[in-house]
Formats: sequence, structure tokens, C-alpha cells
Amino acid sequence: MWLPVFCQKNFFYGLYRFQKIRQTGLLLTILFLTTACNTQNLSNGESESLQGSISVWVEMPPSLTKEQESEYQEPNQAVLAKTTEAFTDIYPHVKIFLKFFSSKQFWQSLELQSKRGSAPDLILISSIAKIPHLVRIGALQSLSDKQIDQSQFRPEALGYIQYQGKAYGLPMYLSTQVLCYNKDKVETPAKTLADLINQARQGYSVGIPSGFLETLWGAGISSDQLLSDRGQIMLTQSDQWMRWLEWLKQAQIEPNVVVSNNFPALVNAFIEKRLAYLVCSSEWIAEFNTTFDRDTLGITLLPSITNQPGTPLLWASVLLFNRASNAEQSQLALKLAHFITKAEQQAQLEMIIPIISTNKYAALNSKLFPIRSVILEQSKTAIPINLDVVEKVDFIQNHAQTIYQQVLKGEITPEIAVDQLNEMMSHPSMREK
Amino acid sequence: MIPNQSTFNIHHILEELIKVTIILTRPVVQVQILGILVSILVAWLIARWFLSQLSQYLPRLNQLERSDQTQRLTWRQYGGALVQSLSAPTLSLIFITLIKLWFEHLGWFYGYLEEGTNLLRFFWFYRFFIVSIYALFSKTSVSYYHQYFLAPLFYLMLIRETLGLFLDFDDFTQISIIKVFGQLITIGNIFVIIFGLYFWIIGVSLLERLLIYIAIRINFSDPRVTQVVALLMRYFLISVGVILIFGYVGVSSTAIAAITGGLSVGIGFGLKEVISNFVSGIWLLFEGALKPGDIIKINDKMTEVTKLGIRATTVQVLQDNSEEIIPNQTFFTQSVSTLTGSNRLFYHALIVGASYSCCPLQVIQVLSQVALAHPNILENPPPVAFALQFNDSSVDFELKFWLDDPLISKRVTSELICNIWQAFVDHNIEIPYPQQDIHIRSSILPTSGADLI
Repeated sequence: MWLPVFCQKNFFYGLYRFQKIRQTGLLLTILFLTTACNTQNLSNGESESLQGSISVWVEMPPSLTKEQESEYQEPNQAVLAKTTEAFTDIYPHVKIFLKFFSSKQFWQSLELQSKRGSAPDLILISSIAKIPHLVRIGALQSLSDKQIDQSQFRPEALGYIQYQGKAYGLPMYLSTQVLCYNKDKVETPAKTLADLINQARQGYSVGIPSGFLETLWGAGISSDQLLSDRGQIMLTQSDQWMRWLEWLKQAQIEPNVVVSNNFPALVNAFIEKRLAYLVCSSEWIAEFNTTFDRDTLGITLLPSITNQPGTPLLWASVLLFNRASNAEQSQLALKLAHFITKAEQQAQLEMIIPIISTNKYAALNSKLFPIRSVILEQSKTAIPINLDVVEKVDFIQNHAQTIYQQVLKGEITPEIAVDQLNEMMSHPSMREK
Repeated sequence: MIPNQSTFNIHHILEELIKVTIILTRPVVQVQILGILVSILVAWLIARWFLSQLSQYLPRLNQLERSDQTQRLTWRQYGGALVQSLSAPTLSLIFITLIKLWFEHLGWFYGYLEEGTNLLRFFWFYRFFIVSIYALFSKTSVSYYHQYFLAPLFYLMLIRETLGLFLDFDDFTQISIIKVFGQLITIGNIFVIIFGLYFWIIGVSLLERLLIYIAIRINFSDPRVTQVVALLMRYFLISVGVILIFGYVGVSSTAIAAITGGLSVGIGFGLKEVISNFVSGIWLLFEGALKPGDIIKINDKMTEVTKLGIRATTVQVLQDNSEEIIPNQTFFTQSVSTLTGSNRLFYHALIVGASYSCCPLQVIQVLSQVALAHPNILENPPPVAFALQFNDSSVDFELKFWLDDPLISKRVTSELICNIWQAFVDHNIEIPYPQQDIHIRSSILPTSGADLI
């Protein structure tokens, strides 16, 4: 029973208690150090004798709603579990603990545990805009050139792991936006924006998520036109931006076009077949696959204002390494990350979930996997963002959202909106970022 | 994430422990834990040394330990207790904060040190709170709840927080360890049942005492009624708590119905007496026939009810101050006379004899005056005196008076006898001894003068 403070009769009694505590403390310390020393040093050549345990956390895409998270988690967890099982088949003495988190919960836990040094050994994240912050707080372990074979990755994927000249992980997969449509409703999918509006006028309803980054696809701006050589974000093609904003403004007036920043509502409307078209993230397709029949869901390239394929952003999910891991855990995590990003494993992943592989050797047959083929095709015109500018993009996204809404509501003209965006991007505070 | 489990599997517990070792085998974590342990050890040693030095200069620093159990602490004792209780945690807090700042400056991981300071702050406030309640209330009334409620609650929270630093507590508590009636019982469920019930029951009794204390302080109503209401409320809250806790755990009501239905016959026979007492206890509480403080006569003994329980009632025998625990069903199978049933008024009679030479009306008047002059005898209903009978040596009078507390009747009677004696002396009223006139008759009468000589 716990003794209240008043029961401590005198100093000698306290000393007696201290001796008991000291003995217990000594035992605990020995036990603690024994556990600590129980890690086995492994050399690189002893891969077959790899053993130990590591933890892996997976962040679900932040754009998902609670309902979508469970739809997302189920197949993705199964696929990753299968991949880790394949890894543990090769290294039977390795134990991997996999855990999925919603984006919000993930960042709350990661932030806290990174400070403690108890964060997982391998982290699969989708919110790449937060990687620089993790680097700054010293949570991530940088990788040497020897630890990464960059030749196997698509060049645009490498920008998502390099920050200020150092690599902090391996790119796991890429995602972008495509035009999803319901084959039961749409016979010939729209190839241009004019087609899309025409079909909307014929009664085919269209859902378009609004927002600066979400609607970037229609502006027809290439990567070179968005980012300067010095890594500054700019709007060199201001006239294209204005035309695009004007188009959005006009489109939302059309009775069958819904331009909204309420993504879950748009997704639900598409699932419930109230929308014929939806500009969707490739990450949503996993959920659509579970609700649509195999022959009902159609995917096609996004159109743009320039009558070229659309230019959406290219996003990535990357595998990052914890700086707090011990040598054995770091080695295991690196080994697993290499295994997951191998062409064979990536192809396996790509077959089950709609991703764009970061490994350029993981090619799927386009006839057998038409949806993957469209996503891959779209990714070729997508704009990659590198980690050095990702925070600027994030900053602009937050502020440009208001400007976009003002344009759509007719409060300001597209010309004023572009001026305001340009002014914001050229502001000294942006250059400092 | 714990996979769906159908049966108990120790594997899941082991997995959670392996996850802990993943963290504990990291040098960056070990160095933080070492920092915390060393800080606490050094702080504790310094605090011990400091207190021993201080006790040489202030030998009465430990007055608290010698203080009266029923008294609150004085300000001086309170200060001494604070110094004793808070010196070690304060020093630990300072040391760990310094180490944390140093780690932060070096760019090392310092999260556990930060959590350590948070837990120590929590501990500091806990000790401060404990010492403060000892200062506010008497040691006797606080120590029970300190030892059985506050301390276990605090240390349980401390252990939970500490384990939570290394263990995913949500996952751990979801591990199923047993299957009962098709229902998986998790570690979390067992924690909730054991600790939830324990703290609920103790907490409710604390609330009961608090309510009684407040009701007495503000003179809310008859304290005996307050006690009964508080007792009823306690049993009601305990029942609600049990239902809520089992409901939270997800124990199926169908399963409970099946168990109780199946066992009811066996329980009915085996625990007949217990159940009878239990039902009688509930009946007594609702009926309100008995309340703590009632004076009753049971088994030819005058007793005072001290505690009403759900199974038995505790009474104090007035004759020898012993306590008797009487099963509740006794009150339904035996006749019990109570002196404090509908009210606490109680009348007592005293018989006094006065000489035949005294005026009976004067005696009645004196007796009434003496009774009225006594502070414990009620004026309303008024005391009355009667002339009872012509006895052999005296005229007997009866003085009938009312008291509002049966426990003082003996003392009042004694005082009254003394006062009557004095009043009779003052008024020349004689209390006669038994008197007897002896008449001697002789059957042989003298016949001559010679016989008479």
C-alpha cells in the first residue's frame, strides 16, 4: 500500500526506503542496459541474417473523408501487409509492425513521437508539404548516395525526396488528377473543355473540385511556366490563368456543372451516380472501384484550356526514415523501403491499387490495366513539385483559395485575381520561404 | 492496429511488448530515460539531506506527524508539510528541465524529458493538493479517502501516462483475453470493470459523506433524514454505476438474464438469509421506519441506531456502549419499540412521597416549579404533578415531565431528585420515613393490689 508522506517517520526510515529503491533501481538499470545491448550488429553483407523489429506508419491521404479512409485503408493495408509478408518470407527473423493513420491523427502522433525519438522507423507519408518541417526538427535521417539507387526511379519522383541537396527517403508512388466518368451515362468521354461544357448542356452533370491547386489542371501551364530556374513560383502565363479563371467562372453558371470545394460531397454525388463526370484524384479511384461495377467506371485524360491534355499537379507518397532509430532498425527500414520500391513489388502494388509507380521499370500492360494506363499517361503532363518549393506551394494554396472563391462568386474579376496572385508570389516574404 | 481477434492469443500481448522494445533499444531514448532517473535520484538525495539539515534548526518541522488525528493542520504545520512533500519533486523538476534545455540546445531528442517534466508537475500538484486537504479537514476524515481513493487514482493515472509514453495504450487495451458468452472481453474491459467499479464505489461514498457534511453545515434538514437520503442515493448511484460500467464494457443483457435466471434458484436456497436481509434493508430504507440516531429497544436492551446498512443495522447498546450488528430481517420478524419513531419526545415519571402533615396542593405546586426550573425538561408539553395515593407513611405524588432526548433521562431524573429534596427542605415539606404505630394489648388484667406491686 502506498505510504502517505506523513508516514515517513524519520530520516532513517527514509534511508531504509532509499536503499530499497536503490536496489530496485539498480536491478532495473541492469535490465534496461541488458535490453539495450541486445541489439545485434549487422554488416551489409549479412542480409540473410537480418533480424529485429521495426515499426512502419502509413499516413492516409489528407483529402479523404472518414468514410473514404476505411475504404482506402482496407485494400492498401492488405497490399502493404502482403508486401511486408513477402519481405519477411525472405528475412524470417524480421518483424514488421504496420499501422495506418488518418492524416490528422498521423501528424499529431508523429510530431509528438518525433520529439521523443519514439517515432516509427519507416514512415510513408502523403502530405509532402510537411517534409521540410520534419527535416528542420531533426526527425528525419538523411541518406547517402550509396544508400539510394536513384537510377531506378522516375526523375520527377526524385524531387519529392530531396530537400536542400539531401535525400531523406525513397519515393513510394505518385498520384495525380484524372477525369472520372460514369460509363452508364457517358458514351463518348469529353476530350476538350468545350466538349465537357457541351455535354453538360446536354444533361451530363460535371463535378469540379475548386481551389488553386485542384484546378491547376485546366490552366495548361507546364512545369517550366510555374517554377522559375531559381525555384520561385511565378505566373508567367498570366493570360492563360485569366482565361482559365474566366472559364471556371462561366462553367459554374452552367446548370449541370458543380464547382465546389466540398470534395466529400462531390465524391458522394459521383458514387450515387448523380454526376456523370468528376475531376478526381487518382487516390479516390480505389473507393470508386469498390462501389462501381468493373465496366461502369471510366477514366480519361483531363482536358485543358490550351486544347492539350490537362496539367494537374503530381503528388507523391514517400518513405522516410527516422533519425532516432538505432543502427539495426535503420538498416532494416532501408532494406524494407528498397524492397517496396523494387520494380517487382511496385508492379504488384500497381496491379491492386491505382497508383503511379515511382520505379520506371515497373510497367503494366496498358491493355490489361486501362485505368492505370490513363493515370500513367496523365502523369506525363502533370506538374511535379519538388520539396524545395513545396512549402511555397502550400502557402500559396492557402491564400489563393480565398482569391479563387472571390472570382467564382464574382466579387473580383479574373484580372484582379491574377494580379493579386502575382503580387503575393513576388512578395519578399515568399522569396524568403 | 490490433487485428480482429476471435480468441485469446498471447501473441498479441507479446507483439505490443516487442513494440515497446523497439523504442527502448534506441540510444536516443535510453539517454533521456537515464537523464530522468539520475535527476530524480539526485533530487531525492539532496531533498533528504536538506530536510535532515532543516530539522536540526527547526526540530518541530515534523509536527504534522505528531498532530492530533481529529484536528486540522495549523498554518505552521501546513508549511512544514509542504516543504517536506514538495522539496524532492521541485528539485527533480528543476533538474529535468535543465537537462531538457541542454538536450534541446544540442539538437538532441528531448520529448521524454518534456513528458517527464509534465508528469512531475502533475505529481507536484498532487502532493500540494493532498497536503492542502489535510490542512482543510481533519486527518482522520481525509486519510481514508487519501489512501483508498486519491492515491490509487493518482498512481493509476501516473502509470497509465508513463506506459502510454512507450506503449500504444489504445491498441493494448483492445487485446482480447477471454471470451464470455460469445463476447470478447478485452484488457481494457477488465481494467474498466475492476478500477471503474472500485473508484465509482469509493467515489460515491465520498460524495455521500460530502453531502452529509454540507447538509449538516447548512442545517438543511434533520441530520437523520439527510443520512437516510444520502444512503439511498449511494446505493442508487452504485447500481447506476454498475449498470453503466457493464453497459460500457458491452456485457450482453441477455447473457446477464440467462446467468441470473439459471442461478436464481440456487442463490434463492443458498443465500436465503442474505437475500432476506438485503430485501429487508432496502425496505427499511424506503419505509424510513429506522434512521441513524433512533433510540430503540430490542432484545430488552435500550440501543441507539448508529448505521443503517443494506444487510444489517449497527446499534449501540446504551447500557455498556457495546455495538450490536442486527440482521435487517430481525426488524420485520420481531416487535421493536422505538422512542424516537414519529418524534423524539419522551416522557418520564418520578414518584415522591410527602408527609401527611403537608398540604398536598403545596407539594404539587413545588414539584411543578422544580420541574419547570430544570433546563432539559420541556415547557411544552408542560410537566405535571399528581397526588397518587394515601400510602402507609406518606401521600404519594407523581411528577410527569417531557424530554426531547431519551438518552439524558437518567441524568435529568437524578438532578430532579436532588432539586426536589432541596425544594422540600426549603418549604418544610417532610419526606417521611416509613412509620408504624404499635399498640400492645394484654389479656390478663391485675386482680389485686399485691399483684400490681
